[in-house]
Amino acid sequence: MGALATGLRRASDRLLSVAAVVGALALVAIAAGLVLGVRPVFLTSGSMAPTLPTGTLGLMREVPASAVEVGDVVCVTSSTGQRVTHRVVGVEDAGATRLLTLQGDANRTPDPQPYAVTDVYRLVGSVPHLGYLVGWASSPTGLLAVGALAAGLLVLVVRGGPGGHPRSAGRRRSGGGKRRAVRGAAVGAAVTVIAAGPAAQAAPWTDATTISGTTLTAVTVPPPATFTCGGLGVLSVTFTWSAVAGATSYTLHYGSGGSQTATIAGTSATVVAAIAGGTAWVVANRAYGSTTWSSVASTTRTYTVAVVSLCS
Amino acid sequence: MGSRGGRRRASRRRFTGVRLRAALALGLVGSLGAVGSAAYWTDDVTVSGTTFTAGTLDLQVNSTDAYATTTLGMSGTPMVPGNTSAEVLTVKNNGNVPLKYTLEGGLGGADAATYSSAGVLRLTVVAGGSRSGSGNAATCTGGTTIYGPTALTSNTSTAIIGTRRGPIAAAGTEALCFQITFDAAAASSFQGKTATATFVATGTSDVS
Repeated sequence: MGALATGLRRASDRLLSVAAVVGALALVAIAAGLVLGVRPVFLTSGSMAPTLPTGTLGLMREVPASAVEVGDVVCVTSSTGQRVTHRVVGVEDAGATRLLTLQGDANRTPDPQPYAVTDVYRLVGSVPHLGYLVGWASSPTGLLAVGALAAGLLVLVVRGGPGGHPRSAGRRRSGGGKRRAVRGAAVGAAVTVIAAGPAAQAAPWTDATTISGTTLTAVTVPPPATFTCGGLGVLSVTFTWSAVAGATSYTLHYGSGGSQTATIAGTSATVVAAIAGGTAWVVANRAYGSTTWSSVASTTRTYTVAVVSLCS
Repeated sequence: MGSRGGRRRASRRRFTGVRLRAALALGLVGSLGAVGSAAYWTDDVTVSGTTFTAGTLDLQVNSTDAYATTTLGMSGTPMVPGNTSAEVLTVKNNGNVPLKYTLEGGLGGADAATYSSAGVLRLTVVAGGSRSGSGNAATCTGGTTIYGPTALTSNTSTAIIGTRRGPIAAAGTEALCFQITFDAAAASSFQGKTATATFVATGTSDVS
């Protein structure tokens, strides 16, 4: 027997030791989970990344809704029956139940609807990437590989090591009852685990897109830029103003405090009166079908109508 | 583990035993098989063949994640009573999983409350519609009206598409024509008043 064969045997022996330790830990972890009421869930999507990336094994424990606080990661069932694992961003009391607003860490917006819960699974721990291993083990290739591995290990359990480890000959001759008990326990634990398989998880993503830039400004009808008075005659004064584009008429305010009005189509008007004075301004009007918009007032003028009329 | 010599020796033998180690290793296989068993996938989640997909959900409007409208606003040429503006917004699923979406929106800006209380800015959304006309006289034609005409309010969370619409397959699109109408009988007091309509389309991967 060459050095290579010995090395190979040693390597496989070590591998078996490592597998045994990991296997024992897995069984202990699963047993502890069963005792503590921890429910494993797998996250099949990435809405909780980077905290809980796709493929994470989440360990959940059921707690009353009153124990939930903002920041907790919880697993709830949506109205469509889908399980959602997201972080709590809002809590609202609604009688015996509580309304939880959840949001995935990778989501820009919270879930559209709050979830009404009385009891809820809260995250107590997580193992990243384990889901990929389990997912692979469930694929046809994985099943074949796991099956072959299991068969090989079963042969080892029943028949002991091939050729035998130097120390294994002595071991095989003693303590058979204890070993059988341990073996039985291991198989029992595995069967229990199969019965209590975890539930699949989908954490839906959300993505919001903002549509902005729709500015709506109503037009402003400008007043006439200039408003002057001239043509000062005996007992009359003429007001003239500049045209406003689109204006359909103008309203001239005159008299005491501008209390009198006249609607004028053109851009000038003459006020004839007995000896009197007042204040005058004009606004532009623009008709839009069923409504008419009027501008603010133009420059204001003060005038006096008399034998010699005055205006300023 | 005990410290007495005899027990320790016995323990060491037990742990080095091939059979025991194989049995424990079998526990690992059992654990794997357990979680990968049929019971594991009985949920309504459609995960074909238990493969994990690090999928992406990306809802875009006109091929961007934050779109600014170009013809739906009426400010470059300010609007007058009776004006209408329109723009076709294409909702696109830029991810690799199907999505459904909702849409909400309303008015912001200085005079949002004024417009809101008078209800003079009305929105119409037409699925599959196209824009005809131009400037402040553009309208949506064709298609199926799925919203409005309904007055925009200052509550920017007002549901416009409240029931999740879709699904849109990966790389799929849906054209929505938005039309905004400024009431033909709006009062003169709206002169110079400004509001900004903002919408948020939210896609979710939950297509069930």
